[in-house]
Amino acid sequence: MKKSLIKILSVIIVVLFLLPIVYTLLHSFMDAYQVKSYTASFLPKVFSLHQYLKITQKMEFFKLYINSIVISVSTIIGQLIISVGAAYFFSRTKSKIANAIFTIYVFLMILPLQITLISNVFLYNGIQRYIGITIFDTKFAVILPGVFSTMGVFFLKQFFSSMPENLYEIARIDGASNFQILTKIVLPYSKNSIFALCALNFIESWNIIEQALIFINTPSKYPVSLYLNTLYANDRDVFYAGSILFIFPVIYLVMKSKEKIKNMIVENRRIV
Amino acid sequence: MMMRIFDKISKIFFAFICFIVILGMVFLSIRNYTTPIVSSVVVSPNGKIESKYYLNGVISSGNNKVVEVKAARDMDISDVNIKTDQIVEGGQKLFVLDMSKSTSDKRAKQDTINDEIYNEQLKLDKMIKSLEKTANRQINNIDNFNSNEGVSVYAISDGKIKNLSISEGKKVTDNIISNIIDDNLLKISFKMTGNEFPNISVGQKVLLTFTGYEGYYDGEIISINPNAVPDKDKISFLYNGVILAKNPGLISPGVSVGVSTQRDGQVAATLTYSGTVESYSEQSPVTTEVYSNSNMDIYATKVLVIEGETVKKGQKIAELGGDDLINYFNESIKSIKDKQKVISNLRKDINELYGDTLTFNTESSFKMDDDGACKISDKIYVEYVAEKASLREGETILRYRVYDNSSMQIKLMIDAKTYKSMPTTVYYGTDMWNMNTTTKLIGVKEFAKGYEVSFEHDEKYLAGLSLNDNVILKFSIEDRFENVIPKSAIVPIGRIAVGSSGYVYIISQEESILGDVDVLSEKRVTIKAVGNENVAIEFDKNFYNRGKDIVIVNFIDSTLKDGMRVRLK
Repeated sequence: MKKSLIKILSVIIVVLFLLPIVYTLLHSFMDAYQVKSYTASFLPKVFSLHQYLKITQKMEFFKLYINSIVISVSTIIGQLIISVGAAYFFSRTKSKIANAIFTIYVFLMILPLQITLISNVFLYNGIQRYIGITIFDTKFAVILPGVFSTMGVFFLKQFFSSMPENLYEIARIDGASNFQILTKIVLPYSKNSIFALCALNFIESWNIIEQALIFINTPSKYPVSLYLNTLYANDRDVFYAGSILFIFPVIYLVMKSKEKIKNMIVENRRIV
Repeated sequence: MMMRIFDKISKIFFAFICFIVILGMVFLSIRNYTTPIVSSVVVSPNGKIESKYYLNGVISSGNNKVVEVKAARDMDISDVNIKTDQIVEGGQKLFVLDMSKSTSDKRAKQDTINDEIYNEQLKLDKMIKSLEKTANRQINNIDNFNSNEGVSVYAISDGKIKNLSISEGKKVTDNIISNIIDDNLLKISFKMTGNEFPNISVGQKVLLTFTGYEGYYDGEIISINPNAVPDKDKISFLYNGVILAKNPGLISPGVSVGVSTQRDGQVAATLTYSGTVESYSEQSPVTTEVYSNSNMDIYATKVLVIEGETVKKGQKIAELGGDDLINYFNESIKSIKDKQKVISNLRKDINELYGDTLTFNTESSFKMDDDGACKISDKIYVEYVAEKASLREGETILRYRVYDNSSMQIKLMIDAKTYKSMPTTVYYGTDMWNMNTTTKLIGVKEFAKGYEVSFEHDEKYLAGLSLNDNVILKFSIEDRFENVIPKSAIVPIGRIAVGSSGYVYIISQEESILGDVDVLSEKRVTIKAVGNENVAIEFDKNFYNRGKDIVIVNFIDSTLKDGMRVRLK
């Protein structure tokens, strides 16, 4: 009974989650006339690829699409570098200072986004004023907070800590340095976790809204996530295709990495 | 199974999505090559406009006196021998008016009036002659006749004043004012008895003796009365005769004269009865018509001779005057003028019978004969001649200018704006490619619609031109304007002309999602000046000029639209 209830509840939740995606998907195959009409309909009367073909000429969309790719990939690469290094440090260092810093990291992770936004604004102002480097209204303004996100450090630190201690010792006996241990042993061993982290980071940075709105003023530097609203207002006949194109990388990535993410979450949960 | 199908479908769909994304990015990457390329120019904020003006002028006569001949009444033209812009030699028949509308009734009336005029004219002539006789002077114009001058009396022959009957300030009492005598010859009357009569004949020379004068003086019998008259005693009959003889001295009438017949210069026989000097041979009475013609009181206002004074023929003897005389003259003048008025009115009646045929705005040598044929003695340039056969009163039949070959000019009509910008020296020629000769402005006339300007024309500079030939005048003006662009950068509404409107496409860099892009902005402008290659424009007042230099599209074609993205060449 309890299992059935859970199953039913799961189905309902799945349906609720999938419904917008399916709705968008089906609308993306509607023709412009049906899309613009005010009569509610779920299924396309005529299956049409018109929206997909037309959006190819919407160069603004793909310009911002590229922006989103740049922001996401940059964030992922940056965060990987930072997170792997920091996580390795925290996992291998047993000092009180390291623990204290890691505690701060964990504390920052639980802070709401809005709180860190304000501090980021202060930071960028300070950098511009005292160092002379302008970060506002550049892609770095949204990339850097993602790069220094504490979530990756936390997850990788947990994973690196869970690795068998023998591996480290054998490597040290063989005369490997920390960098060699990290690159030759730790990273290959934790590639699934890293991939899962990358996937999560990608999803987060791909869907970025608030940071971009606050830090970027030039429309040409916006991520595509900010453009969907404009697309709905001005070009509704291509909006649904645009939405599908927007969510496509996320869905694809999720489908490709769902097992790895699940394993990482399970692993972390086990460690924690 | 279902999962496999789903997997396949999802793979296909993902592949499709990938294709769309790649296609979109390809389009994005080649967008720079698909945007229209335009060339641009910068609006010159203080640009030069050189405007070349080509004006058409006509060689015309420098004689500005235009004679305009108009119909004084409704009339028909039976024949026109000239045409507009023709040069007509003097004496050539210009046109013929139809005079057939003069009806017989009118002609009869005209004859009657002419008779009346003739009669009245006779009366007038008589009155004038009478006045001339009375006033003793010739009257050429009655208006110049001065009544206060009175009457002057002149000597009618050479001689001596005799029996002068007037004196200054005294009333004239006789119509004979004086006699003018020739006292060199005497008329002597004599008598003959019946015995003497047969021996005496007319033309016979006789010898005369005068009391107080010694010797004999010659005489000649000039007349004999053959009819005998009884003597005073009535005993016998006597015959009378007249002898003409030279005055030996101061012999005057009444003196007794002895008469003898002669033979060979010697006394043959002395007549029984002596003769008597009757008068001088020539005796002219000086009379005045004033006295004889009226009962006026005439006074001698001036007497210029004295008794016995020798005068010459035509010499003024005296002046007569007085209130009665002045009144008489005034009344005569009034009568003459009244008569002249009567005749004038009769002539007007004739004119009114037909009306005037033609009117002229100025004097001319224009002549029309009785048949209606019109000619002019001058060589003329016909500016206009009526082509239609029937004309209404006041319509122009002919407008001409006396041809003066020595003072030809170039004339043309231009508007006020052109006139104000036109220099006083311009190029001119017969075609646009041969305009090396300059000419100077010599005259301007202002009209409601513009200006008629005259330029000098000299045969030595541009030979071969004759009246009414066309010439082209050229001048250029350089001016500076605020916004100057090439003509190719404007899309005119209508033709490119001062005051007309048009559109220009301003290129502005706009910040867009795709970055900075060049976007066209359609702006309405007003053309302020037109040069040969450039135009000066004025933007609408609501146009906000964001930059100092406005870049606009050059070589506009119709594919440009407001808001279009373009690439600058």
